[in-house]
Amino acid sequence: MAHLGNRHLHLTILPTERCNFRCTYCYEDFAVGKMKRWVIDAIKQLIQNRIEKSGLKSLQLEWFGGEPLIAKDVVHEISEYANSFFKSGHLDEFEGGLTTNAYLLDIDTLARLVDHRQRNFQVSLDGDEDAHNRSRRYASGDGTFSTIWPNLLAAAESSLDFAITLRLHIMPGNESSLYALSERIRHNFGGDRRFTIYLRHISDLNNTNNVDKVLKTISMTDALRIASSLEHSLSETGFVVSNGVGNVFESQVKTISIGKPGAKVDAEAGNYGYICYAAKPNHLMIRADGRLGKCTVALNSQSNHVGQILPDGRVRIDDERMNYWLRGHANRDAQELGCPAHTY
Amino acid sequence: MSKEAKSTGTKSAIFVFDTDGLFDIQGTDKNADLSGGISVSIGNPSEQGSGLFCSNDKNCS
Repeated sequence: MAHLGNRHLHLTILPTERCNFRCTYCYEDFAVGKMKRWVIDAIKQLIQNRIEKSGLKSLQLEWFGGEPLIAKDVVHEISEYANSFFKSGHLDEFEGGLTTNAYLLDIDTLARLVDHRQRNFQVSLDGDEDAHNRSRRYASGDGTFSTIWPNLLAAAESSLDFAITLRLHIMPGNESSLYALSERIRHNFGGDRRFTIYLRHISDLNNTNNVDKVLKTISMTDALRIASSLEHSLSETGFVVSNGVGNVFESQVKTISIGKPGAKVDAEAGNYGYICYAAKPNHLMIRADGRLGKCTVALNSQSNHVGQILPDGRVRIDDERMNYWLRGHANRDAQELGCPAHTY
Repeated sequence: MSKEAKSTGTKSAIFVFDTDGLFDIQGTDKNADLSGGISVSIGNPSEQGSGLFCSNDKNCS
C-alpha cells in the first residue's frame, strides 16, 4: 500500500506560475509569480515534519509551472533539502522530475538536478524548428527551438542518469514537420534509452493565450493516422513510444465543467486501470502562493483549491473539497480514478 | 494522526486530513470497500507512481 498510504508523499510543486513561453494553446494565465520565501520554508518544514513525526519513507516531487526552471533556485533548494533525507537514510525512496520547456535546461542545470535525484523530464516539441517556433514561442514572440535542441543534444552527449520524455504534439498543419522532427530524433537520440517518446494531440484545455481565442484542433482521425505513422517509425529505431492519441483522460478534461452536475464526457466509459495523481489521497499540489490543489490542469477551478500550506509547515485542508477529488475510491469508478476532473 | 489533527470534514467526507496532511478513512460501513479499492488500485501493474509523467500508456498531463 506504499504508494497510496501515508508513508508515501507525492508533491507537485509550482515554484513559479510565470512562464517564459507563450504557447498558442496554453491554458494557464500566469497570474501567480515566483514562490515566496515563506512558502519554500513551509514546504521544507512539511517534509521534515512528515519524516520526523510520521515516518514518511517515500517522497516524490514533481515540478510544474509556469516554467519551473524560471525559478530553478527554488527547485534546487527544495530538492537538495529533500535529498539530504534520502542520503541520510531517513527516506527509502526519493525521486522527482520536471515538466519543462527545456529552454533553461542547460547541461549544468541538468547535472545539478540529476544530482538531487530530479531525473525525469517531460519536454514538449511541436514539430521541427519551423512548426515548433510557430506555436511554442518565447514570450517575446521569438522562436525557441534553436535553444531547446542544443540543450537536448548536450544531455544526450553526457553520461548523466536521466529520463527525458519527448512529448510530440500533433496539431493542424504540423504533420510534415513532425516527420522531419522524428528523423532528427532518430538520428540524434536513436539507441539512447534515456529518451522516450509520448505522442499526444493538442486539445482545448480552456486556452487563454490563443490569439483568436478559438483553438484549432486536429481531427481524431488525422491525429490517429499521424500518431500511428510516428509510432511505427520511431519504434522501428528502438524508441519506447507511448501513443496517447485517443486516450480519453486529458481530452476529457473540460475545466469549465468541473463541479457542474450533469456535465457529460464525450467518450464512452471504460476500465482504464489508471489512477490520476489528483485522485491520490497522498498527493498535494502546492502552488507558488501556498494554495493547495489537486489538478494541474484545472488551476482556476474553485473545486481545485483544497487548502493552504501554513508558514510552520502544517497544512489546512478542506476535507469536503478534497473528497471531491478522491471520490473514485469510494465508488471504485474507473473514470473518476483516472480523471476526477470530469463529472458525469 | 498528529496531535494537532482537527477534522474539518462533513458528513459526506470519507478521507479526513490532519494538519500534517496525513489522511484517515472514516465511515465504518464503507471502510471495507475503500480498503479493497485502494488495494486493487495499488495492485494495478500500470500504476507506477510516476505522477505527471504517467509512464504507462495513459499519460495525462
